[in-house]
Amino acid sequence: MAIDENAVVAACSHLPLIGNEDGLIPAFGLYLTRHYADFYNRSSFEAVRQVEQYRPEAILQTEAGLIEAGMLCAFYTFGGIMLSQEWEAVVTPMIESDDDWVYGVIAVVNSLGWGKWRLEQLIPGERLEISIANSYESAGWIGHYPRSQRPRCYLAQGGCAGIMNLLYQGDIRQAPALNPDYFQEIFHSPGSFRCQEIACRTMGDDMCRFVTTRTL
Amino acid sequence: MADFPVQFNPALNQARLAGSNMVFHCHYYNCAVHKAIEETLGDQATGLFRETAAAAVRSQLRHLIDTHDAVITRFSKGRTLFQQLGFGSFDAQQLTSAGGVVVSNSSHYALGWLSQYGIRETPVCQFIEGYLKALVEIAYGLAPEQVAVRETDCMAKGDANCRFVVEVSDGEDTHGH
Repeated sequence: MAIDENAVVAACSHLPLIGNEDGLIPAFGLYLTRHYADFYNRSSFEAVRQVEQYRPEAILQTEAGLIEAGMLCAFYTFGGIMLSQEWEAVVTPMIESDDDWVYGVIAVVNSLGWGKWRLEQLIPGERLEISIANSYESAGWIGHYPRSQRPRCYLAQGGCAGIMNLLYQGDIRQAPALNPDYFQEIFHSPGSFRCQEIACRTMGDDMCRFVTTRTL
Repeated sequence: MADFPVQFNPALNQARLAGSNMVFHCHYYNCAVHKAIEETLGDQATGLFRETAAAAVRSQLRHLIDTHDAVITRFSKGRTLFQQLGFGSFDAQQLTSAGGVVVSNSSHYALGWLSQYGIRETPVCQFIEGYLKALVEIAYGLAPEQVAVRETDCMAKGDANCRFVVEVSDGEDTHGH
């Protein structure tokens, strides 16, 4: 593993990502916001809790919508970053093998304010296991709601699936155009990767753990 | 250089600004979550977005806005923060302690929705409604129940700009401005 995560985090966390005269942050082919973690946590969790209370048969569909948002985020944001000049300048010089793309993008994720992501296991093209000691989603649940019976880190589930789909279902190294057709092709086709959160701090676990494998 | 620096903690990979955890999110994610929650809750989603936004922003602005600041300074800080964080821009010059209209020609949510999903039938900027509600409360020293903000025009509907009507229930300016 040739990626110096501390160097990547330091470089990315100092990028001048602040609004321009129109109050927009155009970067990596999209518009960024530096948003309130509490806003998305409370909005998502309140919506899910209402469904759990009044329409429990719809819970999987509701969670799927939130995870899909996470996959879109991964596709455009992680993909855009891996195609960017900043990636070329900061991460590319450290890449020695294809696997380093995974270590590299996780290092970038660790500059987004989402908590401390750690790669626990990578079987290229097959399996990714990530742990997050302090996911902002679980932090948003704990303290506001009782212990959960279900994992609650929807964005992270989409993000983990996104890393594998970008690298092993598609191939971001070939600099494809990031558009809706390509998203459908690599995220919603036979063999696309999906993530399962197998442990979550909201359920009393010591950290959140995510296993990403191909769908059958 | 940001007017309100975000403090990044590399030991935790957390970013904080005036007591709030801040996370980078793109317009694809922001609009997709919006859509998912709207599809789940229907009309109830607008109130949820508005209230959760107001709560998050109110908490932060209480740290950032000094009670000794003039009203114009309070609005200036709120507008600067809004722009810095990438939510767009707005003009609140038609606003007084009795209420009024705020206009935005640049809204992250409206522009993001248009680029991702196209024209919609209803306004999409409930986050901005909540942001403005919290800012008006703090700028004029009002209680949350005294302030209501509704978006009447929205660029995501095809309107020329986003317009927010601010209603203040008793119109009193507790700070004498």
